[in-house]
Amino acid sequence: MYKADLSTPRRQNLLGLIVLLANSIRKIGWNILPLLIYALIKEDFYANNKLLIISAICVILILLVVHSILFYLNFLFSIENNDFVLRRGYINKKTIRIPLDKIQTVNTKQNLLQQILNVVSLEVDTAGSSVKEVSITALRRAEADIIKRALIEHKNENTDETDEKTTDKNNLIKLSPSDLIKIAFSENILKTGLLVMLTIYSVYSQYREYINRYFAREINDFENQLNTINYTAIAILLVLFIVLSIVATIIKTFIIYYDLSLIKTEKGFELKCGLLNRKNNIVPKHKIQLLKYSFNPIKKLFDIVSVTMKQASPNDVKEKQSLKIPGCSNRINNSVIEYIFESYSNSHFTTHFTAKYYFIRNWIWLSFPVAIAIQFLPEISQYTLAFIGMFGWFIPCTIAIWLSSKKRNFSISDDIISIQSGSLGTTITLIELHKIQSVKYRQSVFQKRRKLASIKVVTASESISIPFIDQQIASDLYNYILYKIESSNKNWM
Amino acid sequence: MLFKNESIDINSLPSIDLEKFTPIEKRYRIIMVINSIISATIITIPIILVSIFNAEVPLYVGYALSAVLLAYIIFNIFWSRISIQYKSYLLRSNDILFKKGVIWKKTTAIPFNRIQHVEVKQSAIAKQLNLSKIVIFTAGGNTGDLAISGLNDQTANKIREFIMGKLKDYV
Repeated sequence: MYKADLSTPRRQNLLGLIVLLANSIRKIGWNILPLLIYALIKEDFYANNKLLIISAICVILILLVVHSILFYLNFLFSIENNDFVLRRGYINKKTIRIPLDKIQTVNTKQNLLQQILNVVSLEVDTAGSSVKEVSITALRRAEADIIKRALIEHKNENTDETDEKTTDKNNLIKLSPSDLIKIAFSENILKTGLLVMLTIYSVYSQYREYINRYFAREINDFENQLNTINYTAIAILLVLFIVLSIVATIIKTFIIYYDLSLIKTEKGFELKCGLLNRKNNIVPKHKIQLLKYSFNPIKKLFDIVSVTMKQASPNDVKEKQSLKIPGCSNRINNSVIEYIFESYSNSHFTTHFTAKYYFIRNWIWLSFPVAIAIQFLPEISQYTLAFIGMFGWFIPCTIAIWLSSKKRNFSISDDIISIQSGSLGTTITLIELHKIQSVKYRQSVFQKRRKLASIKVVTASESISIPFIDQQIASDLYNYILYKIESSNKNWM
Repeated sequence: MLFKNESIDINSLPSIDLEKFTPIEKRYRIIMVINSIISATIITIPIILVSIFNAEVPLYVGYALSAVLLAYIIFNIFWSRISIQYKSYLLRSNDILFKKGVIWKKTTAIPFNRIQHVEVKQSAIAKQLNLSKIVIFTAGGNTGDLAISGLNDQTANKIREFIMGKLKDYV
């Protein structure tokens, strides 16, 4: 067993040198890649300046090696007097001190190189500032585990690895490749497809000049074919697009969620997943601010729900601070929920729906302006425009808004509020009332005429609105949430 | 009935509808107007100058913009008179509430046991008018924070002291 004395400043594993060097080469490499491609493609340039290019690359490499060595030597960490202390930098020396009880989570990650070298990087998240800097690039797994435990459990050094009993009962989710394929099919395939197309297009437009030069004839042929409306060509393109989208989604799902496992620990959860970058997050359950789960018709067919558990994050958008499970069965989802929200199984929820006026307002403000704007597009016959406006926008939009206003509701029990939203899919957000940070009551003069109001609840990870409910219910809800927060002595994190 | 299985009566909870909010200082209107003038001028003046000195931009663009600028400022002078009446706050034993908005009304409530820290701020103009702004931070980020402008210096500091005193109880 590995023993570590964390109270004296220590360096990371020597292999960290290689990881650091690789990281900085990659960082620099991305920046000078276009330049390099340019130099290589332009035939004369490389031949004429061979010596210059090679010596420039060598100088950069030597500088990077020196930088990595200096960085490695000056990177020290320790745990002193209940503070996690990190000293880094050789020109600008910096000491970062984090009190142990401010630490939100400690995650380990492994990219491809780290997997080969068998080291992990360790990242420390606090609820305070942006803490990208607090990460240690290379540690042996055993060492990382000890530090992790020391940081999270406030126990200093020399913790035994006795609580490493992960029985099958505690292993909530384990995704096999076939599960991942199922999940990929139930994801938003078109969105991924469009993203891939966009990426391809942006790469194409960046290097258009070279591509045009080398594939001039092919592009020309292709454009000629496009000009004559050819239905088989359109069909082939469509099929190609769908196949591409599916393949891209499967690849994406595998890269992010490969071999995902969620383990129920004594205090919370441990999530491991990833193909090229393996990450390992440990989250105590009391630090989870809200839980979201969602499903759509396809997911329902496969009995899949995707679950996200969000933690407190300093800035509003930070994917990193959440545990995302792309798919699990309803039964598992329920046991996760019951584990986090202890009173969930025996609480009685009362549901309140959104007023019809919510649909009317969204319908007027979202569907009409675009439908009208389409009519003013130039160079297409008026008949086609009316058709596009009607079937391409107005009807789908109306249906989506109708569904979304029908789905929008909230349910409340003694301690938990559950907010439902979504149009085709359904998303349900669960929040424990005492984890709410502040509440807003909104009412416009238009809402007042109809005796309606909206509520917005702000948590440490996200703010969620409950739009257009009866004003009496809204003010009761407002007063009740405040009462719940103020009377509770439970800690929100 | 909003809640089932509730041991406390929902009607017995303190309700915001019944309580009296304290309006902010009326002289804060001066700052509201000055702020709107500054923000509008910064955007429009460069374009107006360009229309005067650059022959390619027709002069009427400058005239039109000046007219809009003037109208906006006049509108703000009147509007601030109305909107300031709707800005009010309420300090209760366990939370602080702030109300604002004429057409879109909004009441934000922050319980004291969720406050991270409190700041009192004062701009140069506000200092002349003896006004301060109190900013209350929660863990909810930008949407969770609350800023109340247009308070007397003394009031702002008193509120801060009061909240800080409350914060000590919770730790």
